[in-house]
Amino acid sequence: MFSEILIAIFLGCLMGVITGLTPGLHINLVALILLSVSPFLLGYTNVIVVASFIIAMSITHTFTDFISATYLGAPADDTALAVLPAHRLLLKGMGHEAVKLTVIGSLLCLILTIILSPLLIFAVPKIFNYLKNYIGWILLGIVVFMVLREESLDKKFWAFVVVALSGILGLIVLNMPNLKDPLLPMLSGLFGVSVLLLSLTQKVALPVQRTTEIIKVKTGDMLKALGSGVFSGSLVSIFPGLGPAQAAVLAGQITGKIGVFSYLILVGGINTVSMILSLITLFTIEKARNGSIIVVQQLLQKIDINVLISFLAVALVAGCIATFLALYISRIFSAIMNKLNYSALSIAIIIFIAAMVLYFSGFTGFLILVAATLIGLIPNIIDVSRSNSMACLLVPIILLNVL
Amino acid sequence: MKEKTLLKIALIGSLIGLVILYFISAKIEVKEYNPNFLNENIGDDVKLEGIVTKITDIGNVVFIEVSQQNTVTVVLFTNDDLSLKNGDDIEVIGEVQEYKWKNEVIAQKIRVVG
Repeated sequence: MFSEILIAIFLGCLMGVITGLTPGLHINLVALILLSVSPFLLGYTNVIVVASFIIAMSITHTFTDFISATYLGAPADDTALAVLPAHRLLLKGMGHEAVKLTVIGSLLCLILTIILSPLLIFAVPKIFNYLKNYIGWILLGIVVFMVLREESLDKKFWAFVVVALSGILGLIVLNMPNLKDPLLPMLSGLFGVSVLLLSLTQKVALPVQRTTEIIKVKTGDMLKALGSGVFSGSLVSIFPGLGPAQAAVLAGQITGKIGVFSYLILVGGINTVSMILSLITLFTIEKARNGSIIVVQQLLQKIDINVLISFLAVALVAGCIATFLALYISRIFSAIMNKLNYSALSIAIIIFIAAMVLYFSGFTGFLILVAATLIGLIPNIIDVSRSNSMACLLVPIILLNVL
Repeated sequence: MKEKTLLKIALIGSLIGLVILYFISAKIEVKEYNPNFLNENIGDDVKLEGIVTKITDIGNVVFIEVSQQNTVTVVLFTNDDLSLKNGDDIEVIGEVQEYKWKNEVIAQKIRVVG
């Protein structure tokens, strides 16, 4: 069994690299594919090994998806808010350092969560009961705060427009029947294609990428980032409908100004933590809040403490392997970026995203991509924060919880 | 944090994880994947295990009643002679289909396990 699990971890890590690097590929989409191939895999081995494969792959995905978000500017919901700061660093020739910061966040938050897991097993149900009635109001407060923190009255107005448009788009898209993978066109439009189009029109020249170690983060800031990463990642796995993106917005407000570097550590940690915490909630409240852990739940129904410990160990090993892989691949990307024409690459990625959207979400998805891209252009033209566009995910959840 | 420090942490972490995994994997009981068949959707691929309680061979089609939590009809399209008998413990991989308002599994692979 041990050797079978090891092979599963190894293969899972390799698959996680592929899914993480594919622009715009969301982990829930990967989970759906897994669910359909599970009966085939079970023909060869047992459920624990298949589940280990899924966990290793999902954990690796949370490490490597920042590579495509950073170098290619193509986000999924957990990386959307990292795209801008990471992209900014890329434009300073420090793409590798940006990826490194997210990897620091992922690995250290992973270890911290596993160490805290005995405590979390008891705390999670209590936090859930305490906060479940207020989550809609908390998120509403955040949206209001996001609008009000813009400097001038004019910008406040435009921030409100962006929140309203994104919110309406989110409401329409997420309530659309028969639309497969609705997040792909919406988030790719708001945070991916729009950014790429702008850098095309502004004729952004990419400086030489260096694999330096210039960035230093103060220990205090790093601890703050890791702490809020674990906290907000926990919220994701406790509350239905709350995704890594909303948690990142929430954590950003809680920690206050921690700076771009610490913020990347924080965002890097959230999705990894939410994956681990989903395993813990599967054990404690028998609920999986995460696409790929739902697949694990379908396979195993319930898990006992031995299975939980072995899954946490699988996650730890996979996360450590993913650290090596992510840093290695980031160096390769850095080297390749130096040889590529950035404008041609941006066009190629836009075409790729459009093709993915057409394939997975059909023509309706393509129309959503166009609409989302147009809305995504507004923050840059008016110079308000792009995180206002996150209203596309926040507004539907606020309405669900408050009304 | 230097990249080397990060990689050292990763190396130590993976070793600790492997040791835990080595000891805990011996204690895990492997449960059979046994989905509640009636909850599966039409078109879903399933794998189920159960005891053969009735075999009806009508030429190219064999109907096999498989008893697990509830009895499931497995349909196998084949020209070959089947070596199955009542009481065999079999494993079926196939697709859920509806026939006359009742779910059944169209078998792709059947294996005697006991």
